[in-house]
Amino acid sequence: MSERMASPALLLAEVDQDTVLPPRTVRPWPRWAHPRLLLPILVLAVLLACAAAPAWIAPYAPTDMDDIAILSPPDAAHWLGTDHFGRDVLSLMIHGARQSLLMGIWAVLVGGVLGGIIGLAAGYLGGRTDLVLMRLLDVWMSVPDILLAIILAAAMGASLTNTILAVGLVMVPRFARIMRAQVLAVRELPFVQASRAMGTTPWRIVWRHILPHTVSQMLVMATLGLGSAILIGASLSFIGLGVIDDRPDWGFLLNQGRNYLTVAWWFATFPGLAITALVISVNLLGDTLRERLDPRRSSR
Amino acid sequence: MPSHASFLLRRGLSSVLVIIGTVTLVFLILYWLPGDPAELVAGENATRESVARIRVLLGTDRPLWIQYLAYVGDLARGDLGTSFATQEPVSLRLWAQFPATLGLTLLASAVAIVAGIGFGILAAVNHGNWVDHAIQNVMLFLTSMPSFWLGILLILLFSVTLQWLPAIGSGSLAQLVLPVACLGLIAAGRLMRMVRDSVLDVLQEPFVTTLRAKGLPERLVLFRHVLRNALIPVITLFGIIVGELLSGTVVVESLFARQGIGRLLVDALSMKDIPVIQGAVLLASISYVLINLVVDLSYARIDPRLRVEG
Repeated sequence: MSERMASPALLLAEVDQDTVLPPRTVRPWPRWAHPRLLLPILVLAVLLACAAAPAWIAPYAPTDMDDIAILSPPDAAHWLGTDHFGRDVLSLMIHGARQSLLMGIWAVLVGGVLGGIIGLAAGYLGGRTDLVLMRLLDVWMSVPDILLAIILAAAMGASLTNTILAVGLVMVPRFARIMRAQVLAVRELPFVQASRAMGTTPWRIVWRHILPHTVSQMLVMATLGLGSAILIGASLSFIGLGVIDDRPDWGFLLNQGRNYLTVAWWFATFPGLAITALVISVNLLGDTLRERLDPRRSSR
Repeated sequence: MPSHASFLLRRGLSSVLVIIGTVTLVFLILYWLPGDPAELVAGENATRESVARIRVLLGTDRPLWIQYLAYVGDLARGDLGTSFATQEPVSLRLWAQFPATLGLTLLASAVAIVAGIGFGILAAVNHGNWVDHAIQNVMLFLTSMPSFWLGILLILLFSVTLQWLPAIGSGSLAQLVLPVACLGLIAAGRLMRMVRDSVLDVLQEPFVTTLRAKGLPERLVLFRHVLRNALIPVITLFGIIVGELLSGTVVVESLFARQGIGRLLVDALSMKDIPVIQGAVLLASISYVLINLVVDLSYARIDPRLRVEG
């Protein structure tokens, strides 16, 4: 080592021969402001603002009916046109943001907490508990996503809480599987074994050593899951299983709008665009999160 | 090969167990969860007498486990119950709608496979340049948009504006184009992503470098060596895609006003026709389980590494 340190010139020469430095990529933007990160955050900020204070942002109330402007195309008074009652589509969408976002976020929480507990139990306890829980999840997953949500929602009846529960329960297996895999990966690591050998109680091991290691993956899953939850919820509303009140969610707007496709293209187009923009943002965010947390995938 | 036979046996047996579980699960959701399905069927302002009558009709006046045994017993004889709405056997109603949904699903999966694998490979081969970026953006859209919105956009473009294709109905071939495109493209988005990642993974393996170094033309490297390895893991995705298509038909069939199991299910939902809902969901779920079984078994046949206990 001292030999090498003696001659900086030699060191440089060696570097030149042995390692080919990758070409320096010129970044037009700093890492934190990459459009794949900035764009979704902007979209989400706007939608969250809509969900938080729709009455401030929306130009009209969702119940305002303009009698002389029924199914009128986008113009200065109604930027995104009006529906079959003469209600302002933009205002309906702004008010609907709360329903769609609330449903998605709560559904992910339900799925994440329940799935997390099941995955933790299966992974940490192992053995017969693991076997039984995993077989139960297999059964749970044997009914395709939307169909499971449909029969749960139909059986429980239409209300926001029941839609959240139905979609949340559909999300359980994916969280449970991620959690179980993470727990299995951490459980036998030397520092956990050492902690166990020192007599730490199982609860404390789970809380202090295992759960912190699962947070990042669960966070990625929650972000990507939010996209699926919103899509499943929108599908339920679209086929008429959602909540019907004077603040319809985006799926229900599409359900109404599709009846007027030949006369009012704007009615179904813009609410669908809102759903798509939201899900794209959430998916981009989830992918970016995953890449940053998992360096092996960052080259893609 | 004894280990292969035991693999077949174990995998088949676990599928049978899952199917028994599925039957139980769907039964419990529809009959146990609502508290009293009779009230659900009767509606909110039904008299007590009509609820009681429906309860007898449904058989829900009996204890849950007796209902369950009766249902499983009927199921074993191929009897799925009787539709409330039409008084026909559920199996007949399902059977009448089955060909339409099967055709739609098969054509859509053909679109998904051709578009998904084709564009996935195209993106991987052009890794990093504008073709790859363009395909990735399309992929992002397809995996993020609701299938019914894509369907609505297709109707607006091809039926309303251009007037090339009919928007609704079933029967003619022209009426199949938009629903098939809608379902197939959504599924293709998932497939593209998987194929692209898989081909990129294989392209980085040392044996590819060896093949290139010995002067094999890139075309042969790709088609004779890389794809064979890259497409194996993609097979597992078919199972997922079939699940997605089966779910998708529910929405797409009602959007395009087509005949089929999905439409039957949506109609049954609005009439609270529980036996039909149950039958349709079971039919879809059991096909899903069986297709996944076939996928797993063929996967093990194609990739010899998996035939050994894994």
